[in-house]
Amino acid sequence: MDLNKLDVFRLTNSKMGWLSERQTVLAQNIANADTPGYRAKDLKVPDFSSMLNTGTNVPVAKTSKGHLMGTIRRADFRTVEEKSRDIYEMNPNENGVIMEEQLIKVNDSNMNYKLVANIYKKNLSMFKIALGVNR
Amino acid sequence: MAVDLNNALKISASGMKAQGTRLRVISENIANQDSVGRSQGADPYRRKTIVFKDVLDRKLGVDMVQVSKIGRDSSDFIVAYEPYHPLADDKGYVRRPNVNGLIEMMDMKEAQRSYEANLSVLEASKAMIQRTIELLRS
Repeated sequence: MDLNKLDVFRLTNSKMGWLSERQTVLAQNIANADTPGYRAKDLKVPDFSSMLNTGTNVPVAKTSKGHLMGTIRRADFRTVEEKSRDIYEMNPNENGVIMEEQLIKVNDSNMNYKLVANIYKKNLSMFKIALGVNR
Repeated sequence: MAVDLNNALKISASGMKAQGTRLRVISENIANQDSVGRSQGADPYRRKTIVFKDVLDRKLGVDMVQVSKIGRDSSDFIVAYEPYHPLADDKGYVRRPNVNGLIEMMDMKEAQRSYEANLSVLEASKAMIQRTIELLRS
């Protein structure tokens, strides 16, 4: 049985993917908190219209083994750099990473991840009840 | 999914490594705070500085942090009046390293805090991986 055919599992799967990608971006920001000229990045929060447009982003077909993979990334995993006017505190070395903000974001995605993992677990246990494994 | 989190771990590790190098440079500066020149007229220890840069890791497709260069602080040496010093010049002045203990201390604290921040991101990523593994256990 393909669990991804069920809406709840598909949802949790993609949400976990998004959160772990975001974790990578946030780790990048914090690692570069002392790099001159670095600006904080974040994943773009997916909205309905961008989801609607994903269909128009058609990758190039691969017809031979020698063809390289396309460079089009998933639209919902797009990173955006913080604009200079949005930064309220800038280091003298032009570094725009605010540590508190980044750590709050890390905690936020961590909590969301926990939430999603729990939803996944609960749904799975519902299946188990139906199957009679956990008695 | 797990690949992303592993990348997060690697990035945090690169940040910690960079901060570790920074701490090494700071300790060199503090240790040599009183290292005067070998002979009369020779330069005393010159303070070292460290600069970071972000490097795109092509394999992972993410920005890692690396030590860009370890340079020397070109500011003037501190001149102290110590006529009894063996390395004092005819007027009785000795040139001492341009290391300011307070600045080094603050730099050290900053490096420590940055290291801790990287460590807490590492912990958070680790907790996320742990959560995923726990799904298998239930």
